[in-house]
Amino acid sequence: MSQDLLKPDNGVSPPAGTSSNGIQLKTIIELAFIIFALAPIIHFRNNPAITAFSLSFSAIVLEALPFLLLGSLIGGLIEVYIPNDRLGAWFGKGKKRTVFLAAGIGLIFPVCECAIVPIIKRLIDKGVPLSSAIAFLLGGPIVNPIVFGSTIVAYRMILDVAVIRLVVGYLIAVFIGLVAGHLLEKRGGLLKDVIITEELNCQCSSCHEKGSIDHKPRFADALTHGASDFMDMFRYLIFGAFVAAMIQNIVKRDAFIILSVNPGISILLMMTLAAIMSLCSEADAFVASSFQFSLPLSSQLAFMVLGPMFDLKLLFMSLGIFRKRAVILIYGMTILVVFIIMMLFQILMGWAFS
Amino acid sequence: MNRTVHKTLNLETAAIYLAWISMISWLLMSGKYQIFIRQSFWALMIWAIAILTLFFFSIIRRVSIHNNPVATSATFIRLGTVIVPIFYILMAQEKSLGSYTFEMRSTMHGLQKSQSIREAQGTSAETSNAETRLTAQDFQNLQYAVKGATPLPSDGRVTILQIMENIDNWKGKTVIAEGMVYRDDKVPAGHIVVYRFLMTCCVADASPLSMLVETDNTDQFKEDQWVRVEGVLSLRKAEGLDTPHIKADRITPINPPEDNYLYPSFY
Repeated sequence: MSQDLLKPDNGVSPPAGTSSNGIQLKTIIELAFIIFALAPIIHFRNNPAITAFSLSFSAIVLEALPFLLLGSLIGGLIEVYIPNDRLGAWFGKGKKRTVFLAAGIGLIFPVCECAIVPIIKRLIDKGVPLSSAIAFLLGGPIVNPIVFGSTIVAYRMILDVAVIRLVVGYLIAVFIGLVAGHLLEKRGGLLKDVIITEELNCQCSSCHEKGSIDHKPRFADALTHGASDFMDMFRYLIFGAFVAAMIQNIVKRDAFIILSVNPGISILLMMTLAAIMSLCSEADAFVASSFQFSLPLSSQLAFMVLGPMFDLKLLFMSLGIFRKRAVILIYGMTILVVFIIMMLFQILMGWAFS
Repeated sequence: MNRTVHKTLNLETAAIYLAWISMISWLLMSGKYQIFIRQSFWALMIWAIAILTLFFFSIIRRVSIHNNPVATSATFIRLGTVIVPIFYILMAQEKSLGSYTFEMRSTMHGLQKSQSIREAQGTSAETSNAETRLTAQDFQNLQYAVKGATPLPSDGRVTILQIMENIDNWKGKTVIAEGMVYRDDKVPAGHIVVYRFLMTCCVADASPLSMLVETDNTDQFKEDQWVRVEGVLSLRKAEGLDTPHIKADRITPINPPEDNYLYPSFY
């Protein structure tokens, strides 16, 4: 980790939309995306591949949209109704034990991966330590009663799979939270422009009177913050859904199965599939269970553990909050740890049944 | 002058919220949301409309407040990104998944291949799947197995999913099932594949369920055509795997059903 993690990739310069220094690279990429995305509609609308892609892309966006909206609304409410630094005081900056709490908070506050990103943004803004926020980011969508229940149902009331998924997910969230949080808190993991944009765009009384103790938070202000977060995150969701749908309709699932003869490769491929498919954590167990008689349990668990913690839409959305290097660190570690744990699980199961 | 620009930006953002509210309301009222997500998820659509509406009014409220950011071409490009899915939804709302997706998402050929590789390596699927202690052979007929058998409906009408769930119970009996036609050179001669998609939450997770149908008139059916098949159900080897098989007494072209997808009965 070099010191230049501190240097904002684009945080020093004013955010797009307020810049007077010409068009930024980010804007050019977005323009290219719009042209690239709309061209197939005009030229290949009757092509079966484009039809399949359109359906998948639209479906991912439509299914994720209500959860992203809810997450943005909750984030706005946190911003306005929870006094500054209150959460920081609750979570106790520097107290590592709160990471253990944060990784399991999804059990009483179930939230999926689409909703969690805007909430995380607001929690960090409110002083929640980065380690706890990362633990919640990774643990929230998996250590969650709805996900636990859907896994039990998908595996036909076999409790073991759901328990292993929940426990492994929790432990990984705690581990990454502690390690990545420790590394990033020293260097600053947040994108600066998130904060700058917020300061420039916000007109609510709650933020303008941040120093004041007497201000009366207003629901309308919470909505303003929520709407702002939603617009920020929605673009990233769209990029992620677009890439996920594109790969889903280019790569045959058969190819994954054929290459999955070796358990190690099988785990890697199922992790890749989880990242590509970008499924909702409440639904992914049903897809994983369809592989239960063809792939080792370690591969299915790799799919179910990694999917809620990392997928393409989550990757793009996280880029809206964290610096690129922070994103690489958090998700790089997550991928590595999931792979190592699943390989160990595979070896242990091999011994147990040999 | 700045104030005019500011208002334009907020009105532009409000227009995008309005576009999304209109789009989702239309999908909900026309029932077309079912093309993309599970039928029973209508509440998600209402939930989205409610929050979008709240956000819309919060944006409208901002029009009259000072200190708005200056709108630039970059801002409009950013806002443009957000409407890209609307064009895709409009384009896809008359369409459904078909044989292209069947080919992309079917795993039967892969299962057979991986089994052959394991056999060549001298390791059975059973060894590789030690913890499940099940073979790939069981995949198709047990994929969505539910304990306990349901009696065959008196008219014999079943879905492909019901066949999968209770195949042992219904083997040797006459069933009537509906689905789309798939044909390619991997399908045994004198057969077509009839398939439907099983959706858990949305189109992105839809997986194909298929059965082999034996008929003398394979050429008379077009790919993705909806058909009703009537015949005796059995299990046959296809690409080395047990696959539901119907020896068709009658195959009738039908109109697509109101809802193209099947859903796991337990979710």
